[in-house]
Amino acid sequence: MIVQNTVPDRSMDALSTEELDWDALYADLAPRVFNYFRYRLGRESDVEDLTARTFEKAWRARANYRRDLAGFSTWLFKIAQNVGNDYVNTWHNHLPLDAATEVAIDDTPALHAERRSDLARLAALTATLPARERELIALKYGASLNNRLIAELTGLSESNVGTLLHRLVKTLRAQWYGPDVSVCDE
Amino acid sequence: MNDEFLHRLRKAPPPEFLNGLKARLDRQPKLPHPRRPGFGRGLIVGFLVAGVAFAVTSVSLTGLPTSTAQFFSAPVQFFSRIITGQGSGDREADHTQIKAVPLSPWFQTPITMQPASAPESGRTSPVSPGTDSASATGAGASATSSGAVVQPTFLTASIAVQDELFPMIQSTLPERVGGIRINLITKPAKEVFASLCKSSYPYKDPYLVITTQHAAADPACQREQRTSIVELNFGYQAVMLVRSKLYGPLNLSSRELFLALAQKVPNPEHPDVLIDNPYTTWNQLDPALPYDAIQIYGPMRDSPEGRLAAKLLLDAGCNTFATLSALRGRDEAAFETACRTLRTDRAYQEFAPGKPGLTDMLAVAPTALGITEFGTRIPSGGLIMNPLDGIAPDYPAVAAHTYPASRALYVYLTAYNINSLGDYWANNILWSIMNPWALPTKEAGNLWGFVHLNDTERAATLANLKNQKTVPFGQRR
Repeated sequence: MIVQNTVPDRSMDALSTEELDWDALYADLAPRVFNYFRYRLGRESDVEDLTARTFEKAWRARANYRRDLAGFSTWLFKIAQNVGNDYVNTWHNHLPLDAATEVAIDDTPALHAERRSDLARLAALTATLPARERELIALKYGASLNNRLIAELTGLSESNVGTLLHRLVKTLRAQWYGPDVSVCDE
Repeated sequence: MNDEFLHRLRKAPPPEFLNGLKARLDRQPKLPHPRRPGFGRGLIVGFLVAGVAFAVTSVSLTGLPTSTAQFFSAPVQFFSRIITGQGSGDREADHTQIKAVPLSPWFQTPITMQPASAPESGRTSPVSPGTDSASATGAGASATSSGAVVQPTFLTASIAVQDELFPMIQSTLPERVGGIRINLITKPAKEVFASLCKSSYPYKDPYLVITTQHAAADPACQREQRTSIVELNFGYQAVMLVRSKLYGPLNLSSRELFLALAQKVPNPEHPDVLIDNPYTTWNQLDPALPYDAIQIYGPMRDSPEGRLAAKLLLDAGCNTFATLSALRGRDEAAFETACRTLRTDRAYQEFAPGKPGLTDMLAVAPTALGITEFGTRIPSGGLIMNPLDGIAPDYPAVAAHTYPASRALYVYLTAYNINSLGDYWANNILWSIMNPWALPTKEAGNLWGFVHLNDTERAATLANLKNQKTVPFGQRR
């Protein structure tokens, strides 16, 4: 099953009610955080662990969340970024344990294998990119955030995010489909 | 063509993962909104800090005040003297200062060099065989008739310390106790009793032995069957497991903890064969345990703390495997590898002991366990102590030797050595080791895991020294 691209504008950030609907937030954001880590790490292992860490950390501290400072998804992805940074900085030398314990998903083995191989291919292509560019890819296409939220999370300007992503996609697309395929700009 | 190929790589998380995580999140209590400190609280804290600073300054300048007026006026006068440039010339004020005095003869105080006196210099040294005759005589710095300064020499007492306790004892003992120089000798566990039990001369080196082992169980001591060896318990070493309060304690046995922590474990189908630890979730060890990843935070594997934790946490579980237990004494290297080596994969994650962070890590990973020294202050509301074999890590369990991740520490000395200097000096040195209020002389980190005796047991140890309670050979404790 392929997840449809989520529409960033339907985020709970736009709500103005006093009490957030935590169930709805979880349903909306869990797949996005999950895919954010998949894209950032370029592999399946450890993704569930990091997703769980992010949510447990956020849920424990949710009483401290202040809506006047940032939207909830911005706050959550800031936690996810920190969890990811800790993981990359601290544990990159360790072997993943849970490679053998991945839970099967409800799609066909062929699709699953193809997607995994595509993910590995993307990881190989982005491996040479600077950390900031890899983060942009993960936030844009893994977490499906809009450029405004990405700008808040990365400290870049919104137009700068758009420009960087445009260049990145252009480069990746050329590498993905090979040099013979003509690439046209939008 | 657009960037659809990048979106296409997304996939839905496994439903069981989402449901499991949601169930765990739903069990978390919602924390109350933290109150931001107000101006009033800041003002009170500021006054308190300023008051303490003022009091410390006043007392350090004038000593204990004789009147309230002096208490308040001293800092003002001091700073006014500095400002007006009169501070350095006031010699008389120095004489009124109260100087520090030693709290008791047992605390570490600088030893004043005394001129050599006839009784001390002529003293034969039952406490320093093995040292040269010069170091076995008491003397002090003195000037000869030619004016050359003679360096002082001291009585020297040798203490044999089991190698793994050496850093801790070195941190605890001062260089001299009661005017006698301490000479620490490190010994492997197998040889720590050799001199004490084998010597045909009771006053031979060492004066006393510090070890984790029972003399009654030592082969050399059993052969010699000496009846004058006094055994004194001076403390314990213990570590404990802690966990987030969120999901409650994990009921582990020593055997399960061994299987979770050891680098190599017996093959379930061929117990004689050791394999790399394959266990990744707790329910693989016991179906009654939860399906959570094995994740344990502990000290660095190669640090003294890590080695101590490995020894205390793995020993009991290792002993439940007959094939592993049989290696002890037969093949020490294989025993160390099998029974005292922590796994190196991500199931065991290192953190620097003594630094804050364990609580945060366990808060983020509430299914994980943390290893910390016994007696660590547990933050209220955050963590709980995890039992082992159903026994909570409390002092009575440690003292009764029922808590698996602990062991007792002993001092051994002969009745002859006690009598040679009198039990006053033995008392002094024993007190230096087990004084719960003493600050470490060197690195405090070397005391990681050390548990001081409580008042009752400390009194009992001192009574045993006074009564010269000897080791009951022939019955193993």
